[in-house]
Amino acid sequence: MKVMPPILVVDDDHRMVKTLVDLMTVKGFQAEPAYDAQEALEKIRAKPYACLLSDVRMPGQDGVALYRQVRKHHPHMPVVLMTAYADDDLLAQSLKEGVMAVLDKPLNLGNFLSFLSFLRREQSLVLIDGSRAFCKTLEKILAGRGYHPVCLHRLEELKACFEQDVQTALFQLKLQDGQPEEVFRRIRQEVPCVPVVLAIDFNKEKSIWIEQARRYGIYAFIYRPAEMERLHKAITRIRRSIMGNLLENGKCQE
Amino acid sequence: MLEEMIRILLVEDDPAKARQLSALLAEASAPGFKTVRASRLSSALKRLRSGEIDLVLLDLSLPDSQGMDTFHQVIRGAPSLPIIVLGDPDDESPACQAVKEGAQDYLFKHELDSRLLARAARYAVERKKLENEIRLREERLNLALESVNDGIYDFNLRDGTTFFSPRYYQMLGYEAQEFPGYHQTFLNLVHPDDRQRVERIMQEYLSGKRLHYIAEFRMRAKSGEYRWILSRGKIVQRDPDGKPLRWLGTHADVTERRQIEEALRESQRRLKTLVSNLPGMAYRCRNDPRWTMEFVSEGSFALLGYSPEDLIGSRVIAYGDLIHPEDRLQVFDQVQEALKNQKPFQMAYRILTPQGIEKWVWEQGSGVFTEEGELLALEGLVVDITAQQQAENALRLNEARLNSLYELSQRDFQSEEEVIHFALEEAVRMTGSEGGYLHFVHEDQVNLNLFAWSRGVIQKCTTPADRHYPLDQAGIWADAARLKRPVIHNDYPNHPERKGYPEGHFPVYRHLSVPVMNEDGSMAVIAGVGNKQTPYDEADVRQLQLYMNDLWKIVQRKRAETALKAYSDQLEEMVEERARELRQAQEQLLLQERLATLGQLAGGVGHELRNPLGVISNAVYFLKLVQPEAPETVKEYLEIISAEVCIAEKIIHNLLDFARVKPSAPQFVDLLSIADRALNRYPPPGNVAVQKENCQNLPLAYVDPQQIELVLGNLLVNACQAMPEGGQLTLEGKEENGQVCFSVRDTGCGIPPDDLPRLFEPLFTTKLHGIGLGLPTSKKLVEANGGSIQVESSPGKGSVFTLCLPTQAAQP
Repeated sequence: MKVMPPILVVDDDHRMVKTLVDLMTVKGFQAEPAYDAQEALEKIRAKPYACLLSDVRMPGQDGVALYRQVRKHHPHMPVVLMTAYADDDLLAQSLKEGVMAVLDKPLNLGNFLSFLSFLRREQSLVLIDGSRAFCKTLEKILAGRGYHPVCLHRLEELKACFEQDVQTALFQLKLQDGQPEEVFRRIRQEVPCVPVVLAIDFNKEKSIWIEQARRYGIYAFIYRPAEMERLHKAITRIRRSIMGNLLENGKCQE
Repeated sequence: MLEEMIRILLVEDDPAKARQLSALLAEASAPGFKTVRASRLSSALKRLRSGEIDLVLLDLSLPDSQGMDTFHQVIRGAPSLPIIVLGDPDDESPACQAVKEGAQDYLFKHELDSRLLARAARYAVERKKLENEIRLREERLNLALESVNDGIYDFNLRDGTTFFSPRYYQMLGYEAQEFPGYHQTFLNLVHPDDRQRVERIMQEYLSGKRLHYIAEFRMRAKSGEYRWILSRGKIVQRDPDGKPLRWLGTHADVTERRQIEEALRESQRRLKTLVSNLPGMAYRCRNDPRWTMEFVSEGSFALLGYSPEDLIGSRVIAYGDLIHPEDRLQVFDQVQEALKNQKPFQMAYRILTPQGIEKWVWEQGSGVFTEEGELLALEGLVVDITAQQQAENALRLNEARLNSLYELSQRDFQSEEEVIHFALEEAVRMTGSEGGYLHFVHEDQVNLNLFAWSRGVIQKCTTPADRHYPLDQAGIWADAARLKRPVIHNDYPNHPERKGYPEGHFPVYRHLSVPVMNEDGSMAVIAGVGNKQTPYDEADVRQLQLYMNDLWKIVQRKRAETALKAYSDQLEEMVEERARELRQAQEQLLLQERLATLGQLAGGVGHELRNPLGVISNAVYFLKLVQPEAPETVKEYLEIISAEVCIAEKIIHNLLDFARVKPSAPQFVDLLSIADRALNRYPPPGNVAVQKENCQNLPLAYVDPQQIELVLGNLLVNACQAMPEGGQLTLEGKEENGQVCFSVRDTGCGIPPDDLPRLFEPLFTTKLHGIGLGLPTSKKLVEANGGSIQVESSPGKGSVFTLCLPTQAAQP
């Protein structure tokens, strides 16, 4: 299992920080405490953190302000806010700005731990609607981008593959053989919490696939060789969506 | 001439002369003279007193008297006896004087012879007799003249001199002889207006045209005033040719008689004028049952249609036959009663002429009696008082009408119908009718609404089935409404335009109807009466019209009062309603304030509790993680803490939800999917069976899904809590009034009816646990989404909460 950077827990309530840190530690995550925004920022500047969990209402800067500071230098760092107060406009605004979730206290710890697990795994699956040659080409390109893709050939292999901490898998669809919807359903069933992107060579006949895929939380990406950055962004977006869902209701899907 | 013996008293003191004279007398032939002698005056007077003397021969010179004294004494002693004075031839004057003063003659003693003396004596006696006779007559005439108080005039036609008697002067206020005695003087005193007439009459008498002279004229008295004189006269002497010489006559003052006559004439004229101007008939009649007239004034024609000539002596008709048959006996009795007591009588009765004219008259009269109390006739006056009688009747009717109206306005009637029925009976009674009706004319002026009949009619008639029909189809009875004026049918059965009765109608022989108008001139009411004993007249019209006009006013006033009362009641109700609303608004306001305070408090407390709860929650989770193999008791207790934290958190959640309801963000959503999510979130315990009825294909609700999910979640949790022993939870949808309704039904313990109204009040709770914010929050949320929430419950059977939500955006 890949070693994940620590999680920074920020709250002016020391017992809250302690219990959370202890819990995470017991669950195999590294967690570090901070008791106000200033301290948190100093720590973040000093080293990387996998995630920031912060109270909203604190002496000095509040959690939203802290997030806005963090975002400047670490736009991809997942930030989760927690609050004892009913959500207000400020919090709704922060969600729009990119906060992963705003959680009511007491935290649903099961959900939060699921989120942490997902965060640690960083897994993803790319469905390729194309030739085997194209699949190989894409594998090379992804590898060049820092992914470590594994090519799969049968749906049955999916579950075992992700249970072995494979981060990224490529799967060549052979949809001319069967119903695409059945394939999507089975993929979701096998790996419910893995981000799945459909790379598709768009034509009119296949627009129906895109619609069906979306229903299963699979986002279509219209493949063009020059736009790998967009694939990356799609995967990131799906991950965020899954993380948000995990935090809100403990499920990968809405 | 048969001569008698003359007894002579010879008064002579000289015995010689006495013997000489006695001798001379004795020589006279039979019957001769008988002579008595007296030598002195005293004895002469004594002798005269004893009477039986026919002539006195008187010597003036006596021993006891001389000259004229002697004569005076004697003539006084025997005024009616003739006296011959024996004079002294030397002095004749005393003898002459005596003759002037009444002596018959005088003789000189020395010239006497028997024959002369005898003749003188006899002449003296005869002359004295004549003188006496004349004097007597004159006295008698004077007496007569004095007794008639007339003046006398003696007009000498030859020279115009006229003698006027003292009374003549006196009559005109003059002293006797105060104006000269000429005929012209008389004429000058005659009133200038009368003078010509008097002269003419006199001339006519003188010329023989008139047999008598009588004239009345005015003469000016000394005072200047005129006296009326009645003059009579007669020619008493004519010359041998018959030409008048002397005219004697009398004047009588008739001024008073003339005045009396004038006054009488004036009085008669006045009486005549008075009688002819009397408002009626003056009469004099006999006291018989036919009242046979002796005198009737001209007024009879106007009163009875008969002239006085027709009535006097009952020549054409007797007055008694003109008295109304019903009143005749009473009139007779009344008169007889008054006559018995010799008192005047007064009475009113009716006249009925053969021409059918009926009048009321008033009579006043009395008997005319002789001094002995015998009845001569009746006299009196009969006056027409029909107008007064009518006026009196009208007055009586007016009074009756006003009394009735007063009662109408004072009595507390239950309904308009009662008012009208009362008034109708009154109208029938006042007009002496048998029955009556009152019908309304519809506002359209075309249709009639048969409304009311008097009892008399109702008893005899069957009420028509159809009470509404057009005016133009109504019979002549409705003429009053069509013509807009009162209508009398005194011969109803023979009216040419009569249509005939409907079935069940009783026969009408007289009919009177009046219209009643509104102020704008439109017809409001037609009222009528029928079958009066006598013909309807203007008085009946007037009474019925006035009465019905006032009745209509009263009805209108009562209607207005009723409307006003209704309006006032309505107003009261509105005021009460408004007060209720205000009270509710006030309560609502109080509630809102209470809620706002509660919200602040809840928010504060909730937030503060969340941190410690969070820590506890973390701690429990940690313990569970680190002690997976802990003893079961520890695990159980950890679960208990965990569950309680959960409940605590739920409570706080509710508090915070309540404290702050966000503005709804509505969208079109399927209520079933929201219900499913809520069921997911708050799964019912295993002993509760969930059933969904009519939840497919419901219209989409336009609401905030999260808020409604919260509401449904609340209802689900409540329902499950109401069924601790398990039961059935039924979700049912339906469409109603353009809204979509969704109900949550349980088979639990139900809610006591007393609690139902308070169910949605904050902090009201029937649960052992819970602070009573779930339902108030739900209500707030539902209302924020433009919907409503209701509850029905039967204790022991369960409750049902129903949400009704809009299916489209609210119209701004």
